[in-house]
Amino acid sequence: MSPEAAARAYRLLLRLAPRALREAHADEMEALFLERWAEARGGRAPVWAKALADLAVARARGLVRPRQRRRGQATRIGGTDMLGHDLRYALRALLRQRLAGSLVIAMLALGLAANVAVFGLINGLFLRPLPFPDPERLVYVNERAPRWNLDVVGINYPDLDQWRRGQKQFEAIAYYDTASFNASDGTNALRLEGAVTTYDFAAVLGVKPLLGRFFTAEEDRPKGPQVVVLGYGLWQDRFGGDPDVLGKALRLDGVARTVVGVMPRGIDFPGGARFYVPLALEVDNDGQSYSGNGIGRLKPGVTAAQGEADLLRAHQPIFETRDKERIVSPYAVPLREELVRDFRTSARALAGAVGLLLVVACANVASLMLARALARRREIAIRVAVGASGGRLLVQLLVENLLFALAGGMLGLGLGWAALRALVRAIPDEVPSWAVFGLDARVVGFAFAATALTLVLFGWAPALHALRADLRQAMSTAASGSTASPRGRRTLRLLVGAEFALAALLLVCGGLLLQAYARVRQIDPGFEPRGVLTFGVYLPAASYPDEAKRLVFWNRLIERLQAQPGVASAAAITCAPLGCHWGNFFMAEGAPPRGKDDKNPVVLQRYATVDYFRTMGIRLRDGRLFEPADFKSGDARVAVVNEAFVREFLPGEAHPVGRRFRRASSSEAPWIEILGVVGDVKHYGLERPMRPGVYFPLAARPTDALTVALKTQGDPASLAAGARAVVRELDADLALYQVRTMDEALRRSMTARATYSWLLAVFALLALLLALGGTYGVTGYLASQRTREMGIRVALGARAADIRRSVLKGSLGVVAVGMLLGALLSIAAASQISSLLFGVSPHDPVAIGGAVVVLGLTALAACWFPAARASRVDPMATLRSE
Amino acid sequence: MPPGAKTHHFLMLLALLAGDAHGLAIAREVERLSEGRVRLWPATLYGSLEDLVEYGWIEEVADPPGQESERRRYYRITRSGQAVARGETRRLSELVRIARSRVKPRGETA
Repeated sequence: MSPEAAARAYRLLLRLAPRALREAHADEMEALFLERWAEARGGRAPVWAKALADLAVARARGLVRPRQRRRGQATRIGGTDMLGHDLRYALRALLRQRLAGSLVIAMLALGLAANVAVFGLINGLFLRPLPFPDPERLVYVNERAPRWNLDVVGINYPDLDQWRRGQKQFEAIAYYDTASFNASDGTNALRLEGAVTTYDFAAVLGVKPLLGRFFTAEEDRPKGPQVVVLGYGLWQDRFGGDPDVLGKALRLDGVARTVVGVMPRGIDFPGGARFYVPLALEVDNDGQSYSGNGIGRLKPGVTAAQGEADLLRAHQPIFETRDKERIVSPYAVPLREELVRDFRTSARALAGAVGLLLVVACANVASLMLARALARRREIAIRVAVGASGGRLLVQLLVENLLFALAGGMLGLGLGWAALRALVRAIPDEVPSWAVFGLDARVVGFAFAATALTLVLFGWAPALHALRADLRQAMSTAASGSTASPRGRRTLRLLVGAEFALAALLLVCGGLLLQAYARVRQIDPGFEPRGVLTFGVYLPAASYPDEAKRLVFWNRLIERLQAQPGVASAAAITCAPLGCHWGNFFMAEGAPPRGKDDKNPVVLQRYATVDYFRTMGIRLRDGRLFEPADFKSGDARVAVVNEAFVREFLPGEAHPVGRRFRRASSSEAPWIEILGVVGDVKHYGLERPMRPGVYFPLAARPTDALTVALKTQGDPASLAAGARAVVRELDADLALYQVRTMDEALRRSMTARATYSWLLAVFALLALLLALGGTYGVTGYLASQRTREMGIRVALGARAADIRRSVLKGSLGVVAVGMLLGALLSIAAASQISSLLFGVSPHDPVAIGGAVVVLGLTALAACWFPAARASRVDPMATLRSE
Repeated sequence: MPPGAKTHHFLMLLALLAGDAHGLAIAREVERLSEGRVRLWPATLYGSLEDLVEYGWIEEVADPPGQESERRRYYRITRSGQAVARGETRRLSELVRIARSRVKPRGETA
């Protein structure tokens, strides 16, 4: 925004100021404002907010204590002074009806707060630009293999090399993966999360190091110099922000790495990385090993789809030589899309829910205001009679509404903001580290727009009514106690019906999600999480160069842990449930060769110690589990498989034990005998299907990183200290990482679903409460308007039950229609969130029936009390008051 | 000072003790005097100037300096304004003296 534009905008705002002040000082006020505007650092939104508040306060002060006009000055009423008059009138009216006024403001604030909170989430995840220059040109690159049943394979480094050489639409394509390293700080062994990247990673992101430089192509080669680039946080924590840190050393996995650079603050992509080390990988064109991710920066004007086409073209030589069956192919999606993939549907569902909640709140306020306007018919009629025009009344009403909307909007913004912060704090693991939830101009703008929308939504009914303020009709119906105009009554009923329709919609969807959540919680994970503690241990190559050394260590570790007090059993495995993935390909003996287009699903392979199944509580289905004897021989000639493996590779086989299979990579691979079959474990999360899986004895391949599992009868968390002592005793340089109980891991895997399900249920409940209040108010008002009629009917012999029925009938009919409509709408809405429903049918009778019952009871409760009150009418009193 | 008067009114009087000034200059001087703690916004500043004129503590300078093209309103502190500033200073130092006798700043022993 240019200073000229700011000055013009401020001139417009100045209309808010009292006229006398404005006329005397406009130019100088503008000059001072421009000075404040020019000084602003870190966003102009606060400047506007403060200027607005400043003017609003001056206006409010003017209202409370109007400045005395200097003698001789003519008073002219019109323009904004008329507005001032209306404002004063509205404020006085508000003060008089404190309860009704605060109720209106509270309802608006509630609706707006829910919207601000959810919009804040959406803003942080989807709208706020990523902290890199030109983020729209960044694409996430990876490979997919549908025939292996893998949407994301990971990148084969030689493939990346091929793309880099053949591509034309990218400025650069870099490789990155998260990795953790042991880093002793002298006294304690720690595990630090970092990233392994190619040398061009920082250039692709467009990030310049704060100090020094990112590593070079020479350093990103096998046997290159050992260097590291620090993240801002690690630089502060470990080196105290030392400006002379370059050239100093950081020990990672026992290797001293020279610090060559420090990244700027706020850059911790990917996944909260605290430092960056070179990938330093050989391009070996025969090797195939898929892991990690790619990130590319497109040339200006190139779309992600064009980038993907370019990658496929560059990939062509690989299809012609190594991968003739075209199994693995590259793809590219905008980086943001990859980062927010898991949030899209739930965010949309929440946004829809809060939007509806706001509409319900507005309908409620509209009916309240309309009822009030109808009740004030007499006053209005008198004012019309003494010369007030319909337009004048309308302006007055609008001013009143504006006050309500502004108060509700400000309160809603504050409340929503607090709610968002509380929410983000409550689920730190679900919030991606790159997402920032700040109160920026977008959020404020959204709150403003939503407030304006509420003004229209709740203001239309009373406004229309005011416009139709017809003198004759008003005077004739304004006699006290007569029935409200049929038109006003119809509008009120319509609003109640609409509220119930929307509340029904929200309740059904909330019910469906809660049911889906309950269903997910009841899924058998295939293991027994209770009493199990897991943690990772990594053996650096410097101290454990070969498999023999590693196996000795692992065996001793498990042996010692087993002997710890409280430990019922101890075991270790390459990939524990809800952890990592390591895939391989196998074929069964005697199986027909796979056709060119047949699927070849990837198999989850794990290496485990003897007691793993017992420790994790995995059930044996057939055959036997590992025995110590299976660990004598060096190669994997025996294996335990899961049920999915049998289904996929030995379909229809009643006795899989003893059957053989081997690695699909070569026809020379040795045969492996199936010792036993165990139940499927929900390795990838309760909601994900399980892949075929095999377990080999650890002795066949003692890897450098394992997850250790300890089973106890008591509290598993209490085992951590003992385990740490055992590891330190064996090797003081080793760190335990990802120490957590299986219960905790399982709970964390469900946090996201639990959060959005409960949020939606809470929104539905709020809508229900609003509908309850609205119906109660409207029914009560309509009944009170009929007091005279009731009095006459009672005098003529009507019983209390008749009166009750007549009041109930009026409201419950509308409610029933609204509920029916809402239930129909909810079926359409539920299909929009079907991916969140986990198999619960959108027409689920329990959810729909439950919502109908709850709503019906609510409506009955809301109408019963006004009806009961009406039926107690004293005919003598009402008739006498005529 | 009357009940409605605020700290920034006092600071504005102090600013004018240095000499006649226009609104913008007063705002800058107030910010400087308060070490950046008080930043006046337009409506507050000019509203307060009118308040002070109404109290009779300051008055508008009849023929302000500066070219005709950018005529700004200059203000001057009146005798009664000076008296108010003196009185307020005395009142505040008195208050601080009483407060000191009860409240010891951190780090000091009684």
